[in-house]
Amino acid sequence: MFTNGCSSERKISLLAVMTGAFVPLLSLDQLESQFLSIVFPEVQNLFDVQLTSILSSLEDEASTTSQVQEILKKHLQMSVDILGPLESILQCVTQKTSSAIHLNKVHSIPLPTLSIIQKSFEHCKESNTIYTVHFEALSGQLSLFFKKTFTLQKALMSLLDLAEIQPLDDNIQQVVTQVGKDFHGLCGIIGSMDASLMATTWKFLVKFVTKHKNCFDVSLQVPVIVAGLCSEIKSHFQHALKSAPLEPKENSSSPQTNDQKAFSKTVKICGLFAKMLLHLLKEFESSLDECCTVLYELVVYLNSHFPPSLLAPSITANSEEELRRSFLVCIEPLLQMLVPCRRFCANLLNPKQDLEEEFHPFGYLITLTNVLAHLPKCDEEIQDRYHGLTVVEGDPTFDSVVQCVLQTVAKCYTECSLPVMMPGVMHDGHPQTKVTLHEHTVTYLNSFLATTTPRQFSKTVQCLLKAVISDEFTKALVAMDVWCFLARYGTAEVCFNHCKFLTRLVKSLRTNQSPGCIHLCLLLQRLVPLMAESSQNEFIQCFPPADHPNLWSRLPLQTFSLDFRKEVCLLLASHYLKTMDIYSQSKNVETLVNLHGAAVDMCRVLHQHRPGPLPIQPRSELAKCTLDCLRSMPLKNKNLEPILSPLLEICSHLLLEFSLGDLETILKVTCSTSSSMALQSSSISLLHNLGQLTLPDQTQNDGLFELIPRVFSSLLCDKSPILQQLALEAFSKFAEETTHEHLVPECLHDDATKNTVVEFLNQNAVPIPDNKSDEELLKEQYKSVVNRREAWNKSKEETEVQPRPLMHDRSVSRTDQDLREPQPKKLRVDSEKSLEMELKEIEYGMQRVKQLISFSATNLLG
Amino acid sequence: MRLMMADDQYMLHKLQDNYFNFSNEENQPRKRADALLSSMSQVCVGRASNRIPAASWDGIMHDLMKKYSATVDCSSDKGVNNYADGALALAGNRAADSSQWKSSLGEDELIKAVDYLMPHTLQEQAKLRANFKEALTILEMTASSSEGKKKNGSNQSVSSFGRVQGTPRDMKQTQVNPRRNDSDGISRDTYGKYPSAGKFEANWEPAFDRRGSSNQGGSLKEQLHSHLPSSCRTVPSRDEVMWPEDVNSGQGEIISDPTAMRREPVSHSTGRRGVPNIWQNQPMKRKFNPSEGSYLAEVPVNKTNPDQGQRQEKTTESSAFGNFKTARQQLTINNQNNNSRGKAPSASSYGTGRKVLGVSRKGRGLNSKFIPPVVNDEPEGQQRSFPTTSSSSSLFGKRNEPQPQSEEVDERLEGVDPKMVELIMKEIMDHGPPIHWEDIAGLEYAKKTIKEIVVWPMLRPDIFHGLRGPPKGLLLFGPPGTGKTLIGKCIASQSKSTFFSISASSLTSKWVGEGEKMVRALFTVARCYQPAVIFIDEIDSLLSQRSSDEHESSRRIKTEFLIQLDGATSCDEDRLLVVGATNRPQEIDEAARRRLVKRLYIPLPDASAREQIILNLLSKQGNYSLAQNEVSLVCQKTAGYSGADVANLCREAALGPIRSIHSSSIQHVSAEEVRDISYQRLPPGSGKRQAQRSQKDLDLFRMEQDVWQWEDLISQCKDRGRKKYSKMSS
Repeated sequence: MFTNGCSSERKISLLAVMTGAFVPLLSLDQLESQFLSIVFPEVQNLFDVQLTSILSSLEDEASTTSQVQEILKKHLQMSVDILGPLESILQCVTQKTSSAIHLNKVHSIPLPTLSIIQKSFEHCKESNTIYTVHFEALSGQLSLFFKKTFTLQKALMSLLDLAEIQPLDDNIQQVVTQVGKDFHGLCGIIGSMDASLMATTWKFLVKFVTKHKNCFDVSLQVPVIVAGLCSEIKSHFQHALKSAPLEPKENSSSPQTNDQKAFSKTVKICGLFAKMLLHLLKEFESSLDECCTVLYELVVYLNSHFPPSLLAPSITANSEEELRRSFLVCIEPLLQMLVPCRRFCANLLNPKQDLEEEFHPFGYLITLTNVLAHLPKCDEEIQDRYHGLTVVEGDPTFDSVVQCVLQTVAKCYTECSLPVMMPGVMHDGHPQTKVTLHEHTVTYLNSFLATTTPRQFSKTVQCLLKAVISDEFTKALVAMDVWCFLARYGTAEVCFNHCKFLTRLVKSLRTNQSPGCIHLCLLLQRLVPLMAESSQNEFIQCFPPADHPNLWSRLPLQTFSLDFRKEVCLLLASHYLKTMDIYSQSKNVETLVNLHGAAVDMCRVLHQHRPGPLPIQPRSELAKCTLDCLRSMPLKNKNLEPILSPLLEICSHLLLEFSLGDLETILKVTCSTSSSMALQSSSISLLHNLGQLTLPDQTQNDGLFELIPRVFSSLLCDKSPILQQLALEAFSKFAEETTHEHLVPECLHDDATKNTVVEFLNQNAVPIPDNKSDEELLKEQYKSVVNRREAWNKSKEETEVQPRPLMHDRSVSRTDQDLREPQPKKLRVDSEKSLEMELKEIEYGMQRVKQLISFSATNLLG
Repeated sequence: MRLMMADDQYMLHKLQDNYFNFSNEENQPRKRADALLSSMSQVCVGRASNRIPAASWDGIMHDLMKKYSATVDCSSDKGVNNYADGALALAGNRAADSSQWKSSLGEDELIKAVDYLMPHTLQEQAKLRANFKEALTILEMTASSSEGKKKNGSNQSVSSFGRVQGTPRDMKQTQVNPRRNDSDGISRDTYGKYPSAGKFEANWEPAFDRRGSSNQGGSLKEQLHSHLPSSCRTVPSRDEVMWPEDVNSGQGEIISDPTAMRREPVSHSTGRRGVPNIWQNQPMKRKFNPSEGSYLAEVPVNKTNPDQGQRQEKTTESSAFGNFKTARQQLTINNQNNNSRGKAPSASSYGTGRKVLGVSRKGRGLNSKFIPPVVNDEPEGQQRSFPTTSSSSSLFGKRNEPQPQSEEVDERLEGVDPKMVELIMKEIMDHGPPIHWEDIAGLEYAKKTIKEIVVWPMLRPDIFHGLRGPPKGLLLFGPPGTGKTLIGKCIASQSKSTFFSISASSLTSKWVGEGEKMVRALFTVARCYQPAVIFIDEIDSLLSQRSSDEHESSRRIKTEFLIQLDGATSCDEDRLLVVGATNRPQEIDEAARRRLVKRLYIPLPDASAREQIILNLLSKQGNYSLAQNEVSLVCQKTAGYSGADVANLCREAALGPIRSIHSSSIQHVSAEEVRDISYQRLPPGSGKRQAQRSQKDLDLFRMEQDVWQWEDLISQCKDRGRKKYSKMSS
């Protein structure tokens, strides 16, 4: 009767009567067959009819607003009337059974009710848009409707809590999965409306899914749910950050708008979601692999938006602490689960990810360091994979995690040089201190590398080498620090081998001023002192100074004994004088290039002994010859600059050796060097040593006294920041050391330089250009450096046209132990045809040797 | 300020800011390392946007890196020790044994690296050569034009001087492979055949006027004559100059002028190739022993040659801009002011000591005898009108008073006087070798409880709050020598919280009222550095039973302690834990005992624990031969021994073998020959005495425990009715 199509009002009243009268009477098993299976579908389309009528009545503009509102009110009321009895049915069903209900007894309930709830919530959600003008009038009705749906949903949830499914037949399973899907959809809809309702729904969904684990295992539902949860977490996290009480900035007068209460509520919800996610993942280990990518993005997102990063708003310290304690603490266990699985490793280490636009290097770096902290706990096979070693054949290898960290550090230039402060590692009872990003990365890398196996160690060293010879300095310095740690942590023999390798590399590069080569020399400067005393002597044997004096100018001489230093200086000095002598006889390009090389090496050695004098005696000759050579070259000639600046620098180091007349000539030279940067920098180094000069007070030296201030004033107002800083340092040193104090005021004629000097002496730095913040300026700096580097690489590609010189160091083909007498590399001169032929012959030889080795290896093994 | 481009100005700002930081000796090493790092990166950015040429960039970077490695690579407390402390703490006991590490950098890496960097060298060389070619062409033109008029041979410079004699072997070697003696003469380091000794063509075109330089031509000749002696000749150095044979062919007369050039007596006489024994540089003790825990080779703080070092030390010291003045420096400043105010500081009076612009922040401060650089007309009154008293400092506007260099003063530390804070900061456990839970033998229950109280709340702060929050006080009591202090150290290194190890002496002081202030300071500092653990050894001396006749200052300390422990001021969510260790619990004040909620009895080690101790100690010693049954026998014998007693026993045993060697041959017996520690070496007799003594203490403790349990029960059911029954292990 109920179904035979009478009007909807009748049906609703009938429904109400039936729920009141029949349902309590029917026993549980009859209920399904007789009542539920008939009534529920009917009720569902009844409800749909109501909604469609509401929508249609909204569209037709014909009737006046009051009429429309009237109709709407009626329909709303009817739909509310439908919900009421439904809910009562559910309640009495739940009361009926004390213990669990078997789902197939009530299998027709969940789906229709769910669809009704979904539709009503959707309706409420769009109500303010659909109802437009009528919204105010009907708002009371709508909120009632919303409440009713909510109570219905709660009833359904309590019913489903009791339901279980022992005999698993497929339609029941289908029902269950469908319920899971619908609930998930429901969460999506409720998402934006009411936080607590959404939280309860999500909690129910997770409980439901975990309860009926077996049927959900099969279906691919879980990754979808996990993805949903992750997006929820992200949105709530962002919401929490926005609502967090902001750090009161001094200049911004904006009052504290965000109240603490809203913030703590959102934080609690975030914490809840995080726990649910973890719970779900613990249950569904198998499906972990699929959701790796989603979880990885979540972790990176959280790391890149949490306070130490520049993206995050500057929130107060204790709100940050609260957020970290309640919500971010879930990242650790999450990573614990994710690190072993391969998909996560693939996501983490894939090189192409930095091309996406929203890729944030800082967040990625922090994630990497977190993973580094977790890796030592995993077993070796996983560690190998992260090291980029092929664990099992056919397994695609990734970049090593060390390489990824180094590449990302290079990209975090702004954070590194700001510097962004990270929470430091707590150890040995010391209180926690804030550390810079650089130290944070180096510490985590060191701790990770301290637990590597020999095989992984060799791969790591290759990554470090690649980083050191690269152009970016931040990357190179991290690599250098890690390398020094490994040198001290590893055995002396390893450190010795590394030093030997690096020295051979520097030797074969010869006069190379590229960033990569300078980094190598800096690394050597740190590694050589770290070598054990015995290996240092062996090192001296490997590279006897007599054979390669120029190499020794690049190595840190301070670590060796005074006598050895004397010997090297003598060698270099005599070599330098020799080349000068050759140049003076036959002034051709080659001898000049030779002289240039020797002069640069001499400069380096003098530079290393800077504060003290050169340990060898015949300094005056050096000075004299250099000065004469300097005199012989026209200063105005731009092209001679590369040779003039080292010569000038050598003179500056040997200032004390000169007679007064020579001094005057030198000072005249420095005065006229205003044009080129190179000459300026060497004249600045001259100023450094002027302080030690004690001139006799005779009057006839007024020329000198008059020259010094002129030199200073010309350099102090220099445009290039670095040169100006050097000039300032030189001036303060000079002012402090010189015995002729009356010269000092004369150097500062115009008040601009005077101000800079006074500011510098007062130790307050030049103010930051106020219109820009620290951050923006650093970003600009980074951008300019990157563009320049790309331009340079492009130009390098063009010059790449001529075949890359296959310059083999002849010693390469010979075995290692004969290294004591390595052959110097020969430079390819473009016009030699015969050399071309020889190269081919060498290559052919190499191939032959390789085949022989492989041949002998095979039959050895065979 | 001159109008500079924004980024130039910013770079200058960064450079200066960092310069002030890293050149200031008082800063912490970590801060100076950061400052150096950021100035280096600024210089690199400068190089990349080529604001400075490559050569000077190379020089600057080497300077900065030398300072950076001085702070980072040095293992003393002045340095950052390569960030190793944090790293090794993180790695914990999973640190791998690095002795198997092999250097994998072979030939192919070398080739790859060279190929990567070589294009740069080629480009440089090409550019260099192009420049020089052009320059030389211009030079020739000017030289030829002026050739006619200049005839004076006076500065006909001297003939070539000897070249450095490569080693004889070197000479021979060049004959062997002619290829090496490359015709194009590029590779400078070949010393092979040396082109015929040409004259030093001195037809110099003086680029600038050479007033009075010609007369030195002559003396110049002598100098140029002098030959830089090759130090590598094996022939012992003789006074006059050694000339290799082929050089004398040159036509210039070579005056060996011993006076002009005192030849550097080359002392080392070893052969060119032999390992020169004199090149002992600073011995860098290379000791690496992972098992023993000290992983890092000690790097002596000052690598440079000693005399070099002093000079450097002196120069860096005087040029450093430390703006924190120690007392001595303050003294020098004051007497500087007094004498300078007395008489007009004439220029000559400055002549005596090192003249200082008065600006070196280190000792002098700005106001001492700095002649302000303001130039005005009346010269003689200059000093007078700008007296060098402190008023002149105002001339330079706001001078940033040097704030104390210690960490920024936390506002909570306001009330406490900084000296005490500093004293307490010293109390923080300095880092001995890290101890892991496995190092403590036995005591499983105690370790589990401690982990639950100290370590887990750290890991999951969200779980352990409210009722589940960690307790405020923990008392370890038990017979002496059972590892209470060892547990304290283990908490320090494993608990990831600030660890204050306090003894009674550090809190008491001779001034009335100081004691309580110290206790209050201690707790405030601990609250600043939450989460914190305060470990008090021998707590019974500090908190003994309060009695009427005791001195009132110790009483006040006790009351202050009790207040801080659980009084009105301490709010409950402070993450603060007080760990007390004692072997006379009954003497502790009743109120203190109530506040130390959690009580752990540290029993004497049982058989298995003793066995673990013995094996642990002996394995460290290395050579011992003890069968399993022998070890178990020893364990039974040492029933009732405390951990310390067992250790003493092992020490005795270890000395046993040495006693067997009679005294005369002790000098020349080698360490390996000492026979292993064996069973009979363990003197059974000595063990007995300790056993009885500890037995007596043991009964005392057992009685003690029952008393407490009984007391707790009463207090629980009578007044507070606290549900939690304090578990006591026996």
